[in-house]
Amino acid sequence: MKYFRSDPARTRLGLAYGPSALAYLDAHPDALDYIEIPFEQLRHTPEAGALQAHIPLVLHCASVSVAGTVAPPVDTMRAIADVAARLRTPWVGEHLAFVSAEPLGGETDADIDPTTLTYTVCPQLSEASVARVADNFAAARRQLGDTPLLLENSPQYFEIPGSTMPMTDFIAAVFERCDAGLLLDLSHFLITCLNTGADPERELDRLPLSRVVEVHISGLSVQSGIAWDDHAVPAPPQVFELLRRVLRDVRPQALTVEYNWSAAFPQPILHRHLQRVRELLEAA
Amino acid sequence: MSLARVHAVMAAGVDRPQLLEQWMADSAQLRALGVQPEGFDLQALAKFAGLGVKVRHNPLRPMFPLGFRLMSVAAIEIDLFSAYALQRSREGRAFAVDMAQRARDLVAFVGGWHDPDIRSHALLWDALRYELAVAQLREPQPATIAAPVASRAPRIRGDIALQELQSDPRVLADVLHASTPDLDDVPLQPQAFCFWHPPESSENDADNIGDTSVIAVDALGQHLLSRIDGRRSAAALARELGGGRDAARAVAIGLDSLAAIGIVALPQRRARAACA
Repeated sequence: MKYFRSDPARTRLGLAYGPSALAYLDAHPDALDYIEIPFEQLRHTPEAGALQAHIPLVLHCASVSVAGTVAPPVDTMRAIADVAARLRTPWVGEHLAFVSAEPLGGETDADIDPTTLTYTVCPQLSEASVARVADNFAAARRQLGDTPLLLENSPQYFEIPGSTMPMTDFIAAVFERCDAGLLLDLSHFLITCLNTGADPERELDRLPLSRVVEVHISGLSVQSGIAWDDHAVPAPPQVFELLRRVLRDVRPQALTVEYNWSAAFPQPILHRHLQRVRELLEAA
Repeated sequence: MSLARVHAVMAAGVDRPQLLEQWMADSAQLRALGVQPEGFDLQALAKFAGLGVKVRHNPLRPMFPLGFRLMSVAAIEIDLFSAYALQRSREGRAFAVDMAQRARDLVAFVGGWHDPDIRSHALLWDALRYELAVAQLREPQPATIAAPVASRAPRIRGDIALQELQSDPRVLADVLHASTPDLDDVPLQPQAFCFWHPPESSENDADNIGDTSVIAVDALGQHLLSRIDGRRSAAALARELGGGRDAARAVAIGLDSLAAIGIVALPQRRARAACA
């Protein structure tokens, strides 16, 4: 089995697990340092973990609901801890978001259990939410043992009711309260800026960049007047500009290109974008 | 507004978009849940529900490469999948676990959702039906007791699917593979197509996409391909067209054309005549 090893002098370069990543790995077996794989993938298809015989795996997750008001099931947290230990992942990356919420209330059976979604949701951006994240983060850290937990900035698609602060302030407040590393998703960050009218350069300066451990890059698409996360299309030039700007200040331990939604993602574009990232890393 | 209440309302709306529809029609229902309706962008939340459903359909992308590329190019993915999320929620139906069924469900939904007067919708409806037909032709056919084959009857070689489309999927593929696709470059006009999965794909001469050929057919070819069953003779096919010398001649010419492509096998006597 192969395991991820951090190198302070060099950012490791990886791809998010998916058919396009596996095809790239087949064609360029020595070009990648790791594959980032979702816990949920390994839970449903454990055989995907066999990939670790060829390349280190880094664990990503969408099940902790760290910004939620409903705790994840104990067996889920135990499973995450087990998988993390087995993979010897350097960290677990989790969304600063929620996937479960209290039931609406009512008398029907459907309203008794928490609502659990298959996709993470940007939380309310408020002091109450920050406090909740701090509590949830502390609980998750206890359950994960020695494996660090990174928090990934969510994309914000619309105004979240009851919010009292912009996303950048929310992230800063969370990182003041939590001993967490930042998984900076530059596409999520740009999406938030586009949807809230914030200036990306100015907001980037206000992020706790010194806490960045890993960076994500993916595509986005603008539909119905909103910018959306889209891992089936290439990252736009603005994302690479933001990366260049981030690399002026920090040297992340890992950078993951997430082009993992489509098996038909063009391999030449994937190759070119990895090259471009390498050039930016070398120039920094 | 309470963090827990806001999250509860958002999650319920995303999980069951028919609730969003109800709240849009009657904001008092939201107040009754302990939140202020003014703070909620229910339209955006409905679109977000569409994003989640879109992601859940990523496993279908290999089956519908043109369809998904077209949705992305035309920027209609979010609208389509949010409408789909709402429909399934209204019906109380979960998305199929079986991917072949999920594919059929999606195509059936688009059949009712698309506006034929909108070019991107018309093209999408064509692309999805074409790609579903190709996928179904590639599936192993269930074993059946073979129907008796008459020695004097033409028969289909391999498997076919007939579709009437507004666009040629080969042209659409070319346009979508361009660096800056322009959907106006795909002519729209009613055409009949035969998608043919030959018994040995290397034998055919027609335009080949993967292991399935796309063949534009005229009205006679479409009719013949829909009627050839290995039991009807050429004479019987001609009688179905009204009989007489003209019908017999048209059927003979049509069969010979289809045989030249390789899609139809003719009985020995007709084949000799075709070679003469």
